[in-house]
Amino acid sequence: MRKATIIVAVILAAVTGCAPARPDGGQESSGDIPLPGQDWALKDGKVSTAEYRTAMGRFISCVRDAGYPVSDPVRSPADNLTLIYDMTLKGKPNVFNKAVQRCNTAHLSLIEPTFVEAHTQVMATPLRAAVSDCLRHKGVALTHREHNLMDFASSAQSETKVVDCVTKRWTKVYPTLPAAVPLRFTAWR
Amino acid sequence: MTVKFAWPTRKTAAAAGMTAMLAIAPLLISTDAQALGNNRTVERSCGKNYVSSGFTGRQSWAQTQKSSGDCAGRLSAALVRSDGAWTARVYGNSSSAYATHNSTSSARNGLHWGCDACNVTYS
Repeated sequence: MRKATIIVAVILAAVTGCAPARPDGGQESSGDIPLPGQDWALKDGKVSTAEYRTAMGRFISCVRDAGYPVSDPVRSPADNLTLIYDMTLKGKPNVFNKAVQRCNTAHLSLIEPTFVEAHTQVMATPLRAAVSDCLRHKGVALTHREHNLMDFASSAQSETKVVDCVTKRWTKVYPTLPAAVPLRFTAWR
Repeated sequence: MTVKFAWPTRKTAAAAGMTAMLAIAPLLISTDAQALGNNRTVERSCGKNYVSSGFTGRQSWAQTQKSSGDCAGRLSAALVRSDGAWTARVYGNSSSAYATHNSTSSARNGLHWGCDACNVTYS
């Protein structure tokens, strides 16, 4: 009986030790505190196109210096603002992920959304046509004045339908572009 | 008259083991490492976020969405690809953030953050 009790105690201790302490998705700080590597672009509250490109260049150099190939960035047809790229995993994923996260928070994380929010998103015409067609097939009544993600979400009264249509049509319209598609439903107006 | 139940030691150990398994099963089910689509509300000291993810057959998606509260940080989201690498982290605003990845292989998990320096939550 004693042996059984010990076995139970060991199993429970092992499992509770492995379980997440608190699935809270956050630490106690509620805001964002940029690392010093991003202050130069964020200190005046605005990020210009040149500053965003510089930050992206620093981020990509950081990832490449860590030993991972990164493609040259291109502007996303989803908003004509965000620069997108492919990163190639080499070796252990956890080492790669840590390196990319470190480079991201050091150089780019808060600069990119600050830049995108300050500018008007315009979806590229071929993608816009494909997304319109997809949404119509979902029964959405379009105004034909939709120019970006927010416009489409407003007509569809759903962000989810728009995300579904953009990602579904993405590879058909742009088969050679990076597979990860950042989508921001930001209110810039 | 007193009836004494005296299980043989092996049976006692087996029963205790079974009890332990039943006790730990819910814990195993609720760990972050489970597959894509472990959608739920997660709590922070400043509010609540809803984390969700899925796979449509051609693309995987993850969304971090504010449910309530006054958390000031930018929400962000990413995906764990089938090879274990994380996709680029997409920062939205304080209300919502989406990450998507086109591939016929389903992502393993959605990744969610309540602010830039926050801990990651898996879905």
